[in-house]
Amino acid sequence: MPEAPITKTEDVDNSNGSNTAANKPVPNKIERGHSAPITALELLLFAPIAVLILEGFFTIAGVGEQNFMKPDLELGSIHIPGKLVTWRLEGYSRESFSKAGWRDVERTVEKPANTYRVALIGDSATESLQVPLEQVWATIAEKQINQDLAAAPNAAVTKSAQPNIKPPHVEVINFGVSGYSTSQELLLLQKEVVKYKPDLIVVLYSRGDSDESSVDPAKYATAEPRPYFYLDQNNQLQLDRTVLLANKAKLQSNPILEFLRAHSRIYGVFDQTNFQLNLTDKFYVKLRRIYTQITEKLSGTNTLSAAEKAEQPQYPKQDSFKVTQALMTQIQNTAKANGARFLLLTFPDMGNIDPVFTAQLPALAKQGQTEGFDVLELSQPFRDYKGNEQLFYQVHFASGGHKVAAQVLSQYVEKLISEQQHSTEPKAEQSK
Amino acid sequence: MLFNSFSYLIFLPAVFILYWLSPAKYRKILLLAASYFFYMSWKAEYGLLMFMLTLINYGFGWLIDKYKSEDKAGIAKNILVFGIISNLVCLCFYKYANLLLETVFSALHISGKFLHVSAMESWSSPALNIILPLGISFFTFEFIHYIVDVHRGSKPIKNFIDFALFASFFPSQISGPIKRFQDFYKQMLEAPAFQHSQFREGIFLILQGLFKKVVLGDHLGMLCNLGYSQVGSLSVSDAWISMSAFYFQVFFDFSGYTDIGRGSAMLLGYKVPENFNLPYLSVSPTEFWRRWHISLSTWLRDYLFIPLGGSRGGEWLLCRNLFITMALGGLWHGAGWHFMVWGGIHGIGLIVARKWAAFCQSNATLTLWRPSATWHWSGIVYTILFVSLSHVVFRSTSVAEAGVFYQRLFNFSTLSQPGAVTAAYLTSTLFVTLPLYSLYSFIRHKSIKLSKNPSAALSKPVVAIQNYWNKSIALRLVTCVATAWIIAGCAPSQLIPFFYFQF
Repeated sequence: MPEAPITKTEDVDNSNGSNTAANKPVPNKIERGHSAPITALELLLFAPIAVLILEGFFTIAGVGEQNFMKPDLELGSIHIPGKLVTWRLEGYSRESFSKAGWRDVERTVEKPANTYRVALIGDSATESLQVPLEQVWATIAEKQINQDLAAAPNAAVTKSAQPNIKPPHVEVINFGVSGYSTSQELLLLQKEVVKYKPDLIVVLYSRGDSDESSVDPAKYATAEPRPYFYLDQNNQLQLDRTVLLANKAKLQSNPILEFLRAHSRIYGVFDQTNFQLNLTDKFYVKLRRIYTQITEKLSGTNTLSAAEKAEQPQYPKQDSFKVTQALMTQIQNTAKANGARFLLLTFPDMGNIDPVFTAQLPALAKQGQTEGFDVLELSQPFRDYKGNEQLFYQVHFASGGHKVAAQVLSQYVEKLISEQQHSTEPKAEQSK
Repeated sequence: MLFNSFSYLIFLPAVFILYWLSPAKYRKILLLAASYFFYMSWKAEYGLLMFMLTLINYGFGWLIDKYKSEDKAGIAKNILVFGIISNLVCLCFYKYANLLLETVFSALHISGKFLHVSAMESWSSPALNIILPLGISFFTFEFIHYIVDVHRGSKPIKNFIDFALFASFFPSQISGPIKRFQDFYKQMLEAPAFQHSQFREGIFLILQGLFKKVVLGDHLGMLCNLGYSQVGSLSVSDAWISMSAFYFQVFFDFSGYTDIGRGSAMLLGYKVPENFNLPYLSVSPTEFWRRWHISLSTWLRDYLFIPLGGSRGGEWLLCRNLFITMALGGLWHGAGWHFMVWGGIHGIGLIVARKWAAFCQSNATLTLWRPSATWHWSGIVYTILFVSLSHVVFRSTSVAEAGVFYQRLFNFSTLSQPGAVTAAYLTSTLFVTLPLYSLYSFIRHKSIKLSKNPSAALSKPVVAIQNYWNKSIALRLVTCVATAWIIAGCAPSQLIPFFYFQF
């Protein structure tokens, strides 16, 4: 190194694509470019070519495919049906949603004969974009349960005088949607999930869910556009759509945007960058807020109409966990009304990361006992895990975590089916 | 404020507009204010440290020049020595205090064990809560260069604003390149005017730098972090991928930073020195250091190797000086003895390269073989391997960890286990972006060569394309927007600081 002076070679790495080397004196003159009409024509030609090249490049690289939600006036946001998603934010997966918009294989809405359906409802921990579909706990559980039932189709049944009773085929359908609160999960259950006639409804309750289900009316302006619930004076659960309605201009269907969201990776990059900067850059968030306030004032959109204002509920700041408990009761009631059972799974609490969440778990278990739904905590099975695979990425399940969750679910479902077989066996014999 | 942050995306255009709209006489003050704002946005109080260092070094320069002009060479030399020591003490305090304390207490601990003094064994090093001021390694080296050159006869900078701007100029403030004040001062005096060609080049350099940093360097860094977080259980393929990932991460990260810095400087009408010249095409470690971190290697040559005696005094002294220069250059990189070991390895590499070159020149068969492509490419492969393997010591947290890593590199019993790093590579965007960058790099350098060789068959079409490129604003605009889009699309979800910021 120090033996000889640095010699400049011809091909200097830091020069740009032009033929002007970085270290050469640059003449101080404006190089005559093409005229304005030719430049305009060139733009018309080059821009579409660039769009095609970019779309092709992003398709090969799996870039701009992380945006998979579209706005919805009822639920706040929903999956884009059939969307190819490449997920790299935490873990990795690259698959399309089903045509119905679920992180799942294609299913018929109509329940096939001799099928036992389990509906998994939850947020990103249920949706599980962090791992490929075959490693998702819903998929593993479905495979495991069907294998177990096929290998020993309900020991009680085979040993009985009913050798011809075929074990049911079990479908575990993943209705998980990123960012959903328990409020949105209840509405999704009532709007979509019940159409699939599930026999068991499983809700995975995660940290922070209770904070997202209700809103402080004083903070409407900055609240996420989604449905919220509150408890009225009679302690009855009521829906509050104020924030949704205030954001109706944003949430209303826009065919061009919907097309771009579903098909354009260039738009996906724009959306993804906006999303990431919103999460990570305070300065960007401030600028964005100022911009939104100005544009909303100028356009007069995103404000409530007189009729909507008149209907706007009036209530004080809520105890978010009480609202969550009322939502659980409502989910249990909806399940019962549709002939299904309700199981509440709670996300593993691996330490004193969130004392509020830790305190909520026994209260939920007690509520389950009182109201007749099962509550299973994933904490202990996760602590007992002896395998080598990673349990978590940053927040979400890694492959090991999915295996443990699937194990807990499959054991529960197999036991439930076994119990149901037991209870139907005498009836079958009687009818004989 | 990081070059790859949204804040910089707002800061740079704002400074650019204000700078060129301001009357020429206020531009340097504006640039100085912007540079201090840039620095203090990280930690406001360290702006004062930079200011104090600027002030005392301005004073040293002025005094040295004064006493030299009064023929009081002895006093001038004493001031120079005092100035160098002051800068080094400041650097050592902020950078090496904890390392020195740890080393002293470790030595006491070992001595206590050896001498059976239990009190000494129980002493533990007090950890000083010192936050390393960003860029201190770079601007102290610029100050040392300044006072040494003034002592050697260069005219000092008279105007304090000019001197403060030389020291704090934000495009090269945090990680260099280490500027030479003569070049920079000349530009300041010339009061650069706005040039379209320089603006254009600046934009391209910024985009190129961002691509290197965000699209390549950051993703390679993630692979590397994954590998180095599980050194003990790395499979052989994972170990090789992690090692290669680090080699290229450092290059893309650091040269990306330099490109953005140089591009930003160009937008403001200034030129800062180049720092890289295709280092991965070096045919020997000696050539590598002529192409890698050029501003540091020339600094080490001028202010360490030559003062140590350089090549004067025979072969043995030359080798000694090379080794000392590289070992201290290694320690400059970070407060850890493994950095010094890394520098030492490069010192040995340079000595071996020197001996090998001498041997080849004396050997007739090898002399015949030297012009061949096989020789050339063997040199490139050897240099890449040498640098990559030495970088293991650089990247590891200790020499012991580096030892484990070397074992994993040659643990061929794990050949059939691909491992997590391999899987992470296959699912990252690198499998598309690395070939894309290689293709771009190849085409660019080929076209530059062809355009300079009119007799080549492809020269005419290449020159025609280049002329079209230079004339077509539309083509350049579309290319810039598309590149920016690729950068945004391939950016990692978190803002990752530049690798050399820690130095």
